[in-house]
Amino acid sequence: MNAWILDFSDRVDYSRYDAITIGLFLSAASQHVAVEAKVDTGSKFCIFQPRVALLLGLAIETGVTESIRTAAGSFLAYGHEVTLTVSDLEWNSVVYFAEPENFPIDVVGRAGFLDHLRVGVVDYEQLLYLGPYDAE
Amino acid sequence: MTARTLPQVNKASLGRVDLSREREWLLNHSSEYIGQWVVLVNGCLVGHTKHGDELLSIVAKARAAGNQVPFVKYVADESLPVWMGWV
Repeated sequence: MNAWILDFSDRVDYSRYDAITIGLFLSAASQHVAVEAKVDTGSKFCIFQPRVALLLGLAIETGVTESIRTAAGSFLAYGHEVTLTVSDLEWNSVVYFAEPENFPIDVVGRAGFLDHLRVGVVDYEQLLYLGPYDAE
Repeated sequence: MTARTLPQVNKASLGRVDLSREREWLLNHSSEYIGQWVVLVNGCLVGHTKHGDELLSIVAKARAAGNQVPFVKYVADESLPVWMGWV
């Protein structure tokens, strides 16, 4: 049997949420806002509610347009570069803001979130382990 | 596998993210604000609105009062079906 050992610099307890959820800061142009986002390993992108873009001073439709397909249909989203802060780590990423005004949640997925980190989940204990990806 | 640029991840310049007080407030009060946006600072409600257009002014007031990173949340109706993800 092979054994792999991974190191993590942080651990997030998500037992007070109904899904694997993290608190994070989004920053753009010296404006910051804190939100809770669901961690969705099945999502290619990080997608936030359109109001969040406005709070960051971003003109949502000036971003890179992407058509997002889901099990329940599709919608447009616009990509903007922001700074994400999670635990005590920060990095720059392109994240997407959904066009539908009533988009119901904020989600972090692979591009812009998972691809910057080393992540482990022990769902029985409702713990998410995080660390920067450093290729070691 | 093609070579990829290593991600640049740095120490947080805004300090550590800790929204435990905000989570506590939501667990205790969110049922009173279903269908509204709430804005919290240090676990205290600083404003709420049903109208997204008013959210920016509430956040602006919080920032003007020196709160650099206000927390915002749309309080969804938890009686709705379970969210299954996969955006």
